[in-house]
Parts: sequence; C-alpha cells; structure tokens
Amino acid sequence: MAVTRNARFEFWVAALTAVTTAIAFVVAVLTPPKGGPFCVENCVATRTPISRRTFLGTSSGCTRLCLQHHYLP
Amino acid sequence: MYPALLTAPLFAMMLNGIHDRIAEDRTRFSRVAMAFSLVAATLLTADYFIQLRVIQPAVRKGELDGLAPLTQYNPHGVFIALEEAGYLLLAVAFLFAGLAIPTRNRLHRFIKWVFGVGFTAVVVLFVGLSMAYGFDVEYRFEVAAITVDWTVLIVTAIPIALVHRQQLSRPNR
Repeated sequence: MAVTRNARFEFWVAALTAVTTAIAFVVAVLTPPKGGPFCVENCVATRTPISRRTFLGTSSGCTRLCLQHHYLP
Repeated sequence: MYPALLTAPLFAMMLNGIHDRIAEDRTRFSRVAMAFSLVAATLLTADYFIQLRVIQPAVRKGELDGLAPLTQYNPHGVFIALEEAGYLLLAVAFLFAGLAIPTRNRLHRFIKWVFGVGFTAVVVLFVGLSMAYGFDVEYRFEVAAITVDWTVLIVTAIPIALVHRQQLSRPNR
C-alpha cells in the first residue's frame, strides 16, 4: 500500500516537473529580451561609463528612466 | 518567472523519488545529485525572489539607487550570475543523477544518456562561451544553460513518470 502511494506521489512529481518546465520554457521563449546582446528594440540600458557613476544623481536618474520606461504603463 | 521558480525544487523532489528506489550501491551518486540540486534550487529561488520581492516593489516606489547591478535587465548583473551558477549546478546534478540510475532497460538507458548529454553540453557551453566572449559573455551562457537544462528536465521527467506509473500497475516489481 505504501509502495503504491509512494509511486503515485513520485509519478505526479515527475509529471508536474515536465509540465511546469514546459510552461516556463514557452514563457521564456515568448518573452522578448529587454537588454543585452539579443535585445532588438525598446532596450533597457543599465550601463553607464565609470566616470559618470561618480555623479550618483546622473547614474540613478538614468537607471530610473530606463526601469520606469519598462515597468510603468 | 513563477513557473521557473518551481522547476529546480521539483527536480530535487524527483531525485528524492529516484534515491528511494535504486540499489544501495548507487545511492552515493543519488545523494550527491540531490545535494547539487538543492544548492541549485536554493540559488535560483533566492535569485527569482529578489526580482519579485525586492526589485519590482523598489521600482514601483521609485527607490532606484543601487538597483542597476541587481536588476534582471542588466546583462552582466547579479541576477544573471546567480542564474548561471544555479543552472550550472543543476547540470552537475544531472551528471550524478545519470550515474545513479541503473541500466535495467531501454528507458533507464535513455534517461541516463539524456542526463549525461545535458551535463556535457552545459559544461562545453560554459567553457566555450567563456573563452569566446570573456567578460562580454553577458547572458549568452545563461540562455544556453536554461535551454539545455529545461530540455533535459522535460525529456527525462516524462520517462521517469512512466517508470513510476509502471510501478503503480506492478507494485511488486
């Protein structure tokens, strides 16, 4: 009885692993990259030259603009 | 990101089932596989939760100072680094999971083979992309490792579910 119950639990864990991973895979493929080498349009730029980073206002302002551009409607 | 949160912990749970059912001389491999999968699950869960519960509320509230290294949109940020480490360790777990599985029939051999190929592919990609791009690798390895790891998880979880289903119909074997 316990063996059957264990096998049933393990069957559902394995099935759920396959289904969840497949969903995550499809979502990942359909999500366009928002930065980096594969980004095509509306890219988020998080990099600023080192010399400009000393001016915290400039650096955080750039980050704020970039992130708000992506997140806010 | 929510479904991705579940994949590594579910793989650790799946390995737990394998560990319970294999011969004792192979449990040393399954234990190591479980250890690596748990480290990977811990890293990836922390990584995704930081995005969901730190970065997104901070952006909404306008608290942006110091976020640039942490955001997932930074191609060489902390998020990508933790994902790379997590999926690399998941591939190491594949290696030991493959070693733990016995070669009783074709289904077992297939699962072993996929785990082995997955580990080899991730290691080759890690070395190859690191050598080719150096510090400019950005998220190329992360994308490649996720593609390999998730393919391995889908392709192996289905036959593993079938093996457990066979045991349900024949509990004495």
